[in-house]
Amino acid sequence: MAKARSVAALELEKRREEILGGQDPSRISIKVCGGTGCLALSSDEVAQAFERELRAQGVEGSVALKTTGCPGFCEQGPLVVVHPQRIFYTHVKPDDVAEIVSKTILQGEIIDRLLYKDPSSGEKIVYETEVPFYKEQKRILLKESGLIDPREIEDYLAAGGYKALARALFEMTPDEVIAEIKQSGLRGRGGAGFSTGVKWELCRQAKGETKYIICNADEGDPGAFQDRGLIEANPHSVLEGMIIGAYAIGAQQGFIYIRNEYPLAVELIRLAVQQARERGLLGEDILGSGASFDVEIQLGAGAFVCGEETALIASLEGRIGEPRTRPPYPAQSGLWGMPTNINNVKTWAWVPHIIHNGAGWFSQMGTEKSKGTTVFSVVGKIKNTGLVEVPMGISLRHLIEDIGGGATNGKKLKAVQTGGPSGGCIPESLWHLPVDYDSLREAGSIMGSGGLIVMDESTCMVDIARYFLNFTKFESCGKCTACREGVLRMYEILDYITRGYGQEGDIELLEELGKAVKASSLCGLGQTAPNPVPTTIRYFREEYEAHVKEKTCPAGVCKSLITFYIVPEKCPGCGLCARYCTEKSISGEKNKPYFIDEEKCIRCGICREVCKFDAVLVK
Amino acid sequence: MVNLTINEEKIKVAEGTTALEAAKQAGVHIPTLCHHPELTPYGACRLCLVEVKRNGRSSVTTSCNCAVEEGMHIQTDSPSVVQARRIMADFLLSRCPEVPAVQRVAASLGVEKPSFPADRRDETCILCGLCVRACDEKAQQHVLGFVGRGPDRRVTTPFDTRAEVCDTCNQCIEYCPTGAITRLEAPQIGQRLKAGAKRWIRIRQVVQYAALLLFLFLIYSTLRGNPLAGNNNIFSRLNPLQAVASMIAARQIITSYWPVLLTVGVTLLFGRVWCGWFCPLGGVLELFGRRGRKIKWQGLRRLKYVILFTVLAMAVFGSLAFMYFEPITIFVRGLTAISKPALAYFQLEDKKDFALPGISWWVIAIPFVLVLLLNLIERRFWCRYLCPLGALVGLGSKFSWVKRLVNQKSCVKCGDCAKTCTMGAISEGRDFTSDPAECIMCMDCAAPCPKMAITFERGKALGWNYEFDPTRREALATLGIGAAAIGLLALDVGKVKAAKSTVLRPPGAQGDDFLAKCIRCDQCIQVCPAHALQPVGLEAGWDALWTPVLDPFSGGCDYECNRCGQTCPSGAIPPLTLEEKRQAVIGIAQVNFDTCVRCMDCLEHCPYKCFDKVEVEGIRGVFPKVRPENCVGCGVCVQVCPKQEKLAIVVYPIDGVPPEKYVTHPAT
Repeated sequence: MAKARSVAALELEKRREEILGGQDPSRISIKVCGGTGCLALSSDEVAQAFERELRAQGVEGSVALKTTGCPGFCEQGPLVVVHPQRIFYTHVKPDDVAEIVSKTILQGEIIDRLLYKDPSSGEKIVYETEVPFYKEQKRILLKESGLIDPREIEDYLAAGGYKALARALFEMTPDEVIAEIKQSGLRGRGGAGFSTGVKWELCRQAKGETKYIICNADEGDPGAFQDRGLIEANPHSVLEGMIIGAYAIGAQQGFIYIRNEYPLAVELIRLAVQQARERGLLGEDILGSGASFDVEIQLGAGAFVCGEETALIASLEGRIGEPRTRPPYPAQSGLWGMPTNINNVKTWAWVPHIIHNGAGWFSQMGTEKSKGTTVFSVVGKIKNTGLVEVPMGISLRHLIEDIGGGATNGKKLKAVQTGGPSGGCIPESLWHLPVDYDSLREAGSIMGSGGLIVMDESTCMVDIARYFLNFTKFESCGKCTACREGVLRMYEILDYITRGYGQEGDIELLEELGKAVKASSLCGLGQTAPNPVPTTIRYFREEYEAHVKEKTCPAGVCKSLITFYIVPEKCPGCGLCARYCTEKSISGEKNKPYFIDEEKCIRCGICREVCKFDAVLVK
Repeated sequence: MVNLTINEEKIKVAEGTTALEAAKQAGVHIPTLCHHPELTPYGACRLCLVEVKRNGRSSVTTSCNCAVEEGMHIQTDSPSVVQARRIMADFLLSRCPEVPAVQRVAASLGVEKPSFPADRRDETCILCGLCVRACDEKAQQHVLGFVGRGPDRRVTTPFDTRAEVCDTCNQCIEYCPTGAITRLEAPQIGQRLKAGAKRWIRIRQVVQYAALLLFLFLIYSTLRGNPLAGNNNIFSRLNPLQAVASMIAARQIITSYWPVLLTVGVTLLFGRVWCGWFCPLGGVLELFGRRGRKIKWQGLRRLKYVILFTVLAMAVFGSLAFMYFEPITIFVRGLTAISKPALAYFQLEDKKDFALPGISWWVIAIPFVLVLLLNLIERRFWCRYLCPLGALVGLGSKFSWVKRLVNQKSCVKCGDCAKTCTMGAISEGRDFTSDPAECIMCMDCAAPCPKMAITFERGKALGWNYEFDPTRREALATLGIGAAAIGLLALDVGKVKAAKSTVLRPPGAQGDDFLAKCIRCDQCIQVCPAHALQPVGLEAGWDALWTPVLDPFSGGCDYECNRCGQTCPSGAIPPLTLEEKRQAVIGIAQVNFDTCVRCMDCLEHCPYKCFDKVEVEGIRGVFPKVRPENCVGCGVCVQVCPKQEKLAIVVYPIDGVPPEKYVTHPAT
């Protein structure tokens, strides 16, 4: 059912044509990454240097300079890409800028020093598209990351933004929108993987005049930053998804619940909302279609549990952020008792793509039950940390070793933690598993919102379980006994084990408690909080047993269980370790092997790090 | 209506019922600590977990907030549920190892000991959120809330500031399952109630010790020979047991006991306050000994009724033989025993002349010492198990207007009240209620109650069917003892009747009437300035033990003194004027010419001038001789006689004067 497009919609289309018409594809443009990762490495100074330099060299008119969102390869930041050739410069410092402008921009020369060197082959790679990290990805959500300026709505329009919205508003009924989403097989990208279309339908069918939609951008997992990366790079895609969703569900008001710890993302999404309002894409009578919808930004106060939908709603309502039992689901009784639909940032961002390209296009990607692509933030002991987008169903090994570039320092990779602190650890032996909701669940982990933490042989699995439980213990809201007390007790046992006080039966007790906490907890946090423990026990039981029975830490991490020593044959007596040792526990004569006083040693490991001869060992 | 299955049993419940309520209707018990039917379900404690099967899918969920659905199958005892509940209970017990409410729930789920070390052993809050919900939904004050995450979570008011409304509202207190609510640091909930309860305790203590001090002052006055115009006996005259028993035994209204009406009135209004607020002996027993119940066999409490009824039964037969069980007299006798010799010692000019009284004197203090010793077993042992006055007042208390009440909706059975109770009156097995006949209204239990569930207010008007009501067994025991005692009296075992006429009674005391009224308080002995009155042992018959007799060998009745009659609370020694008393015949003195040394001291000292000088046939010399018609038997002559120990002069009871052995002639 197609309605005649309104004047506003036609004007928008016209404006898009104008922008596109004014663009010269061959024009040189410099894209400096302005994402948080590169910003931390002073990419803003790089951008300013470019501005100065372009002006100084008199080419500011002919060269476009853009500060973009995160293109994903955070490991190599600050990143500068010179278009249209897509020359890819890494680790750019403000001092390098003059050279880039004078050589690359003006003379078309490549600066070898700034190129990316493939660690596996050792070859220098000139173009972004040829970098293995990008080559192996299938970027749809992240397609515009690194290309458009998130501060400019016109960049988004030029990239085809808000086309899907117009299509939905004028060519589809709300039911058709829902049918399309349902048909696509899109599953919630927040981690649980519930069918988005079904969720929308439930909310649409729920009784009530007032309905709300919420974008959950309360990304709290340590090491995960996909939502932040997406909002910082392309906030309008999220917004467009929400407007379409609101139209489909019949909501008049939306909320974006975003962490206060993401200042840049907050700033950009605020700006995006303001721009959308100015363009008539938000507010009364959107694009003259008669539909009305507006969005409010709400900042979270830093509680991990507020990522849980009922806790998020409580927090939005101004109450303490703690979950409540479902049912009733938010679709029946959510924000202020009204039917409410909550989706993750990435889920919303998928909507315009699906509406624009059709359900069939989407469902071609991925596996039978998990469609589309998914965005991971790959971190840990690998070479290429960053944001990646891959089709559902690729193997973990492909993701970690090919895109992630494998282990650093030639160490052996051991396991990967998926799904953040409430996920499980999957051992290297199972890395043939495809990445999708169901196979990860079978392996004892979860998809989560897409954090991947890779661990190598220098990671102690007991210690890592302890670390994650410490996080969930601290982040548990404390409402229900199972999670508050259970996670605390499990943490205590793990802490004892890592300190050498493990007892016979502790491992079994942990397994028993893990099951009970999982079964008895009120919300998703508690139900998944024990996950790191059963999976590490399941796959790395021998490490636990070594801690409990032999009081040793095979990975050499747990300080109470290890000793550092210097191998006399390897030690040339340089004395470097002794200089670094804060406790003065290393002594010896120059040019003769040094030794470590165990009594004084606090096992910080700095001697091992500084030793150039690998003479410091752990046992 | 919705059809569902609970543990294989099919039932029908109203729509909107929760699984927990449905199980209750089906008679299936599900433990919970965070649920209250009046408040919104919360699902925090996780003890009410059940396995729910719906649409072919099974899940473990909390039953308190799980609405029933058509065809739902609820399993409350599946192994996974039992195990999960057990672990949840273990978690809660490990958090609050010393909270009885948690201990009970844990024990019911098979957890006797916590598996994990407690962070704070005195933690009482289980974070169930009932107070928070009560504050929101019942009181609508929205003052209480949670702060902190995870292990740091706790209940408090915004910014830990005390809210004024918490002084008066107190609605949350009732809902707290552990009593933690009044222990919260910042909100100080119930502190005003607590302060009020403490104020009552202080008032009671002031009254109690004032009464004790007054009693000691009265005893002091009595010792100093000042009857305070006959008011030094006020504790006896307030004493309903003395009043009732002596009036029954004497078959007459003894008007001096009018203050008893006050005690009766106060008892009918406020219960056994006599014991808790006024009894001086109670005031002493309150000072030491263990609180709570230490003796297992609490039925012993009924023994006091046996003692009471036996005393009263004896009174019906005209005898006050067992009045020495009366607490005021026990205390007075105890003080008399020690203070009287002490006074005598201090009054002596030459301390060498002092002689300790014999064993028959000290035995009057035995009951008092025993009462003190028994207090070491349990505080107020006497008051709990033996005191007949307490029994009498207690019977009245069963009908009293104000009673101790325990709000059962609020009580969490923590037992703190039972631990403080000086009477051990609070029964753990009966929801910490108390028999009003056992409760002495001391109010000590109200302040420590963490739930402020204990109040003293208008209770059930007519009270019987309490825990320690006297039963047929006590009646039979009374009958047995009473009958035996009365039988002994009737059969004159021990020659009781004959013995009676062998002793001298205080001035004005009249034979049977005296014994029917004498309540054995021995205050007359205390007040007697000449130490003439003494407690009698078994000489006057076993039923007259510790009644006063005039012993001229100890002292003579002071011509200028009528204090014993003034002091006697029951009128056993009539309150004679000095003139009347001087005329009251106690006995008649007779000179034994065989041992008399003719010193004539008696003749000189006799206040009645009733001695004549005579010549005795067969013995040379002039002797003093009593003129019987003028002699009242005051015994002053005996006191001054240098040959006292040779019985040179003896006072005989009127009926017992032996005939003269010698013929005498007035001396010329």
